[in-house]
Amino acid sequence: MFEAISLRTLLILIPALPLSGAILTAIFGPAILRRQSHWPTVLGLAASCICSLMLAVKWQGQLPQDGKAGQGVEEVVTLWEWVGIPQAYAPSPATGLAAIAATENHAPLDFRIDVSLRIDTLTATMLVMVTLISTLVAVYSVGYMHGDEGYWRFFSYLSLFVFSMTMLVTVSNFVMLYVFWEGVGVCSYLLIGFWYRNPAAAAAGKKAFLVNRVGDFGFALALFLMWMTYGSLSFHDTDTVAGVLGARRFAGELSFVGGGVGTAICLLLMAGACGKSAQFPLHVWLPDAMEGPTPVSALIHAATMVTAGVYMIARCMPLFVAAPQAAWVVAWIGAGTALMAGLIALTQFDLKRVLAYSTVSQLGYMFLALGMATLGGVTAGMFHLFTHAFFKALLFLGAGSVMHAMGNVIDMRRFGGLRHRLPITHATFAIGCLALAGIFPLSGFWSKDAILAAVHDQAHATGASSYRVLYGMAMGTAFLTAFYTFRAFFMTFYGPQRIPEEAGHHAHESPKVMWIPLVVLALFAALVGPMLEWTHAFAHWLQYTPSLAMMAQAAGATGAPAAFHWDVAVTSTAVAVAGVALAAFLYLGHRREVAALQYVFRFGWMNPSEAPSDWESASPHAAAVANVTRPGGHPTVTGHCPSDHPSGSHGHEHGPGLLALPARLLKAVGCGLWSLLTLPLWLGQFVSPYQMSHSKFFVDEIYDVLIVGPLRGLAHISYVLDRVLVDGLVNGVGGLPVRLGGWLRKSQRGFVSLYGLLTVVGMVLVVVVSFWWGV
Amino acid sequence: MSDTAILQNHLFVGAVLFALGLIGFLVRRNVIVMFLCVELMLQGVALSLVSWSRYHGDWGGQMLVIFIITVAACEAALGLALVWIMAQRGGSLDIAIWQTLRERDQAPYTDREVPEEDRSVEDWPQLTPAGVEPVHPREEDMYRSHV
Amino acid sequence: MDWSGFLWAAADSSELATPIGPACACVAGRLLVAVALAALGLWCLLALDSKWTRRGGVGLAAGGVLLMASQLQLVQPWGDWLGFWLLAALAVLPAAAMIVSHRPVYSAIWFAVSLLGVASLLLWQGAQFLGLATMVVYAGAIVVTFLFVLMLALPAGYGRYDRISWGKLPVGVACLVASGLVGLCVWGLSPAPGAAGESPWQLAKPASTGMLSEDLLHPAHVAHLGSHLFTEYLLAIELAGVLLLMALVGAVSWMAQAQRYWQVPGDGVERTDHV
Repeated sequence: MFEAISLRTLLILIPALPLSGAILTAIFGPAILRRQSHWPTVLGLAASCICSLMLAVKWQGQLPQDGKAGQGVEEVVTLWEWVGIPQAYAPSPATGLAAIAATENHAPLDFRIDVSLRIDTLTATMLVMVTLISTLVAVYSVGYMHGDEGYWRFFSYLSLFVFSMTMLVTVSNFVMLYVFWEGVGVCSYLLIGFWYRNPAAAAAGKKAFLVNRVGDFGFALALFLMWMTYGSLSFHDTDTVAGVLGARRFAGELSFVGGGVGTAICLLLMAGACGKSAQFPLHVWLPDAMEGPTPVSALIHAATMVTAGVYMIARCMPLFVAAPQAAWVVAWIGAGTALMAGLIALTQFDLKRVLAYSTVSQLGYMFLALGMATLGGVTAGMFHLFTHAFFKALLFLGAGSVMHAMGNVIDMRRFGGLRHRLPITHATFAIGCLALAGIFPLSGFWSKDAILAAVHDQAHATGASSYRVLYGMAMGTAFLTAFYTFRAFFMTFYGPQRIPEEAGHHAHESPKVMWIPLVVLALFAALVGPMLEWTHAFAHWLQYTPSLAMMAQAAGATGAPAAFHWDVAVTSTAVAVAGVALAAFLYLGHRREVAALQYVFRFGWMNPSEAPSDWESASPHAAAVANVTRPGGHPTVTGHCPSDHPSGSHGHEHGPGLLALPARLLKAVGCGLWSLLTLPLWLGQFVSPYQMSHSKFFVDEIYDVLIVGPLRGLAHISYVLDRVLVDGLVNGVGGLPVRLGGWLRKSQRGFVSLYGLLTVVGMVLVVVVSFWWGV
Repeated sequence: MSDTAILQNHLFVGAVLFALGLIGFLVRRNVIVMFLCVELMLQGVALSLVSWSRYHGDWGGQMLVIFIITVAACEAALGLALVWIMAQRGGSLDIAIWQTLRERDQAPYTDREVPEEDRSVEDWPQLTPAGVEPVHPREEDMYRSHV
Repeated sequence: MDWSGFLWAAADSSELATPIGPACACVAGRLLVAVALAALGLWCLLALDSKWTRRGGVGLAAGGVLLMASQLQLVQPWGDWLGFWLLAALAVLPAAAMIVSHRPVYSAIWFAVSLLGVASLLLWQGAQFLGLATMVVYAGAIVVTFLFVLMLALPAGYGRYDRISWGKLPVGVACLVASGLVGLCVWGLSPAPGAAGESPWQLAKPASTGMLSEDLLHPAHVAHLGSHLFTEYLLAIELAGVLLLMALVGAVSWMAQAQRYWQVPGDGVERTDHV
């Protein structure tokens, strides 16, 4: 039976099963299935997962067994032709971009888009990861979404997402890639705004969609440029045309375009990837996306969809190899995002937001690895993608479990010491944290180490100082990762037990349907890394991807592939342990240490009146920034006027009458003076590192001022113009018949005889006129 | 010459009948009388048609009049049914009551001069009461034992 | 689209020429006077409500109509002339009485009398079948139906709205328009002074007398009419039959459905503003 199913069938089944699940749920969910709406989705995803595993195993059997690197293996299944425009592309020396196509064949090329599925090791890896995690998340959602009024809708969207994602990693054409790229974007939008009655969720969905549009615009431009340059948008070769990433280009018959055009293509592709994978400067949507249901955060915004950008860059790696400047930019963007997101995650109090920034940071790591544009870098990045998916999904589902128990409270200041209440969540969350922090021997250690090793190798190979800086940034990020992960972990599960009142009597371990996926994911998070990395199996497996095979060949020519570096491993482990230790020191038990830290970071010594205080004494509902940074109980610099103090120079205030007005004036002047004097202090507080981190480096605010505000103004101007000018014109023209009719309407007085008279008069007129002109 | 004269005179009579019917339709307010006036207009047309028919020695005009009579019969049946329904709904044959169908913001038409009822023509014959007046048990009416 | 031919249903447009010419001015002036007289007379009859105005109105209207008629060719010989005008008076005078009468029942009866006049005019022209059919169908059936409905809907026999109209101005306009219509016809028919005996509409040549007597004026007129009706106009006569049946069914169904309305007391119809 196993042999009976061909690769082709499996490849079609993998996306088809989730799609049919989505359609079935959408049709039968609202009326028939209702509380059982999860069945089509769960069964479809599970079947799809089994198909993916079978596909991977079969594909393993088809790979050349000699283990020689540099041999790409792929198979393309063309289902049908979607678009075919004959002779759409005329290679002309005048454009200057058609150089490659022109050298091959001067005949015009067809614009042809096939719906074709491909299988190679990169796709197989992504398919296994996507379907496995989505199956587990779907099972988890059965418990998490229980009782939600949009139960069927959720599962329908989820299935649709998995369909889009599997298609995204399977298709063999840039246009189809773009289509499903948008498809996952739509699903993401729908699921972030799943609770659309909540304005924050609706706004977050909108924001995600719009920010992604910015990136997608770049992606679209990249596609146009690619078409102009290569005359094809297909990955693979066809009979007449060499694909963009086809074997004939690897064979050296044709080459990849470098130079300005190549760099432009790569940078535009990277813009798309930045949008989807939440890299700076388009990272702002991902933390807000946490408004969606937690399983969605786990599946789409941590494990799968956000890795689409990484996948795309890995897929297009030959283009980046041809344009090293672009790769360098990718590395810097990745490293910068990783560091920045790590810094932001340090001070967040929302558990899911910590994880969201951690996701951004880890995606930055992957970008950094891809930016090395070496075989070691790509395999390390993909490996990190693979392992990260498991432990980040685990962490998010764990956070969901905590939320479930805490009555949807996610503010870490409001609960604590939950390890006795939620033992399984605690254990699995611990594994996830250890994996994320990169502690030996869990998955995260291996993948992060592979990335660090790749950067290290590149730094040594090129000797460029910029790569050394990148290495340092990556190492710093490793420290930050360990710190904020365990900060969240300790704050949630350790310390005195506190449970918010919203939890009620639900503060217990989640049902079985929720914790079993947690356990499974924990197993994967713990074991996938060492199992795959111990023998470099993952890297070898991935090297059969055609686009990476060329690099493997090059690596084989120049030297050894990415090796395990003891020094890198030891350093990163030490850094991670230090991070964990610092977190434990600050947050494990003695939380008052935090106040001291805050005191230092907020430049408290600049304002002598400010005493260290315990933020725990702040109002439990004070989630707003202002209340966090200026806890109650100490006078803030701006909020109070000196006249509020009973003592001072305002003794005459109790004398009413004549003196009242001057007293008020004096008070106002005093207030203004005091504000002026304390402005620098206030600014200092505003820009303190703590505040910077807590306010996410004000990126959202900067965007508000620079982009959203002007656009709003423009929109308002357009609105006014539309209302006054266009609407006025249209309404004026439209109002003319209305007014004319209103005037004629007066003749409608209900007199039948009057109507008759008017008819006769009209008839007589017609007769007279026709006589007169002899008609 | 004589044929032309006959045609002209008949057409004239037809036109006069048509005009009279038209005036009646326009000035009378009784729905049934208006209806009669329409029939009169039809008669004027029929007369003209027959005149043309004779003048040209062609059957077409006469055929048309046959169909006019047919359609007039249908029209009378349906029209009178409608008149009857309207009279029942409106309580009157006055066409003015259907001003309720006017535009909303239009003032209704009210009669300025309402002539006095002309009693003089109401000299219908009076029937003399006949037969014997029945006996009325007046006492019983006045002294009933129970209410 | 030939509008004049369409509007003048009785006339074939190919036979009509435009009566533009200064020579007509004299005739037109006389006609204008006649139209004014007729309109004034009818207005007096309809809008004013006193014995003398009514009598004066009759005189004025008759004068106007006669003035118009004087523009037409004479029917010859004198015997025919007399007969024609007697019959015409039988048609026109009851018609005028009908629209002037204040009692709907009288109106209906005057209409029946007018129908007799029209029918006799038809017979006079040789249209035997139509003359009799008009008498039987109209006077015998339709007018009787009218009287039935009148008795049902108006048991008193009259209403105050039968004695009043919409006001003097609308009545005047209506009279003027209708008289003007007649005047227009006469203007078109009357012979132009320049071409004696020819009307400005350039009537086409009449059918020869032989042809007329062969078919239209044949003694077996009705047989000929029937043969034409059931050969050339077979489809039309069948359709007319279907139309009659549909009208019958329609009238019955309307009445059956309307039962609902008059059985509901106080059906909310606004009846205040016509009082």
